Amino acid sequence: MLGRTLREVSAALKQGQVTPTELCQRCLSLIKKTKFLNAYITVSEEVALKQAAESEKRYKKGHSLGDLDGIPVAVKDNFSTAGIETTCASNMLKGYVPPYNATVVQKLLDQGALLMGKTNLDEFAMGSGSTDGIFGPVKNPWSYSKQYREKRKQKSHGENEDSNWLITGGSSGGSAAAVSAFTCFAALGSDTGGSTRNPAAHCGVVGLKPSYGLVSRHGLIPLVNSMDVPGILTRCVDDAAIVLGILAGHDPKDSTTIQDPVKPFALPTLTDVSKLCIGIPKEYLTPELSSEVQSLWSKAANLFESEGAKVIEVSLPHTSYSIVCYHVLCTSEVASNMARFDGLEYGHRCDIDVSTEAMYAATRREGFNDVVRGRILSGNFFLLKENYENYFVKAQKVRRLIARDFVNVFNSGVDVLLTPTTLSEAIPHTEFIREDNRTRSAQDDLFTQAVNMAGLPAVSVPMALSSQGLPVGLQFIGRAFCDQQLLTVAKWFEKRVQFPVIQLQELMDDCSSIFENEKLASVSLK
Amino acid sequence: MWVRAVWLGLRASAGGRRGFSSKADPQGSRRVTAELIEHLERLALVDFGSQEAVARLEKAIAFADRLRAVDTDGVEPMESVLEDRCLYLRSDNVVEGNCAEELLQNSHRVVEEYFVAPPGPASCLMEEVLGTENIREEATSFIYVKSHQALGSLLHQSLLLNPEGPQITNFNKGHKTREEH
Repeated sequence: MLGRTLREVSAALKQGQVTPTELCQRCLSLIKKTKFLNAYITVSEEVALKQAAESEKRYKKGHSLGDLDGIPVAVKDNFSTAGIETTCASNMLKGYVPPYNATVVQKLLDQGALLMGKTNLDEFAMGSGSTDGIFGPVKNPWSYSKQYREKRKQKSHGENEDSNWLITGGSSGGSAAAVSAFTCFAALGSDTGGSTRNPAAHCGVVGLKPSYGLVSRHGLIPLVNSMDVPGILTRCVDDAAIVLGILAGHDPKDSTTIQDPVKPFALPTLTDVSKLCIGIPKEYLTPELSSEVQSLWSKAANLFESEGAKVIEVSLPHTSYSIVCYHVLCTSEVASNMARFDGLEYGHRCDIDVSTEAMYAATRREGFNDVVRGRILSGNFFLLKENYENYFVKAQKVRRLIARDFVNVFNSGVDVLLTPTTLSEAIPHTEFIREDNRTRSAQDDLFTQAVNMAGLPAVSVPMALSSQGLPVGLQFIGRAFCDQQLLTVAKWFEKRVQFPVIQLQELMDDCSSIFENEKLASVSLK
Repeated sequence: MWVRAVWLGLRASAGGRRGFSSKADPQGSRRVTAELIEHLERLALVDFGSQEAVARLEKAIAFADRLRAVDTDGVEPMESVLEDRCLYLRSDNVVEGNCAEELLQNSHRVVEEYFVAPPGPASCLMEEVLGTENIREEATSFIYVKSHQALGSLLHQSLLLNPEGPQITNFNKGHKTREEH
């Protein structure tokens, strides 16, 4: 049951094959069993069971609220949740309990979803590994998969397997791991420069970054206001569309959400791709790209071509400056956003009471990690009176050129762009931490952040396993507010590639009771 | 006991703030001088803390310098991808509120409905606000900030003395609260 997609389990709930409470309990046991993944910061067991009981009542009366009623979901710990601690994986917000729900969280709850807990991340979502939060790194469930373990056995024997666990990517690594390890059916991430798509690619799940302005940011603790978007992580494209359909739409509490009416997001099944034009940006073929990802990328392009789609090489000439531009804009907005944490009204406060200024400084010293402090300092440098024009405004100008590159490509008749999501598959934690956070982010966000600067929708879809037995995802980028078209193409691709299900039976050994009651074996864990 | 000191902003405090800047590596980039470090620390209200952090800033600047190669003549800066759309403004009606108690629960120090801050940044500031004769006494006192927006952005703070603005009251340590007077 837990291995099913959201849509399938929703059908099972409606048919009474499983009750919301049973489903909730199964997910809770699996969360406990997979605790070592460190995917969750807070498990909201009581809340979830209460919500499940209410959902069960509704099902009994035949008044279910819709597709999400009774479905276990998880939420990244940078979305405000009323009455549930929201930490951003930072000492600064440890113990902080928001008095309100983020709009997206409220929308999920209004649909009857069960909130299993808050997921782990890099501190304040600043990072690309989910390794830099105060609760420690998230471990990629694929580290424990049969597929990866078998490949490793062939290669090396002497090494200690447990110390070689892989990172999830980030910063929404907890959400990606939670979905990948079957502890929930959908999870919210956030995406400022790739934070939803990157871990989705590394964990073999679907990661959607909707168009900027389509989904409310109210209650998402901001990183970069002009680029932040709530992200959606699911096990298939259809599920992402269901969740987007529920989350999308104008929010009076977020003036940057557009007021256009949102149509329902039921995805048509595309059978004919011959009218489709797929763009392959030539600048994305960088030397750092692993040969394996590169070959899967061209395989995917060939797949579209062989089915009759027009596949053309396109140029986004400012691509190489994109990550630099992102770096300046991101740190500048971070410097401004982080000013709110002063120890007075909420969050951490130091013991120093000599003066207001000393209190602020010591509070922030204790509350933020090196990465956050580093970005605040860089941002302040770029915003200095004498640097403002040369760095911040310059970056804003380059941002326009980058956004214009995309507009030009789409105006030339391209429907969707196809690119890699990441340079390679997930790497071991020991290898990842050899470089600092800034260097890693610059590498890992290479293919993803330009989309945020242009406000476009993009989705990472798992394509195949690498020779190491690890997932590789590819990214589709669509026109602004053409999220549905984007997902329709992604769904077609997903169906063609038939990405394998993660095999976690060793992990689940003691968990077998969870799966005993399987009635339908169709998508169960093999 | 109510003092009409309003909006105690940040102010460059006189004198060396921390020892670190004097230790700044003279071999560091020509750009990141000891003065710059001190200036940034004061603006950001976080410290570098180590030479590595300074090196990190130097790397970050060098990285950003690559943007100079881009020809941006005649290009308008882009602030938002929604620039062509009207920004939604909701009507100016109160639709929620009365949640002061809930909000105050998240603060470490409150008195009645006030957030409590330590005394202002520098004694010279206190002098301007209170007059010289009160300094010694008031320097040990706490400031009670009423508006939860009063300390919103550290980046744009300045010293304002506006009796109509958000209220900040000043009590001696251990003084009784307003009700008890």
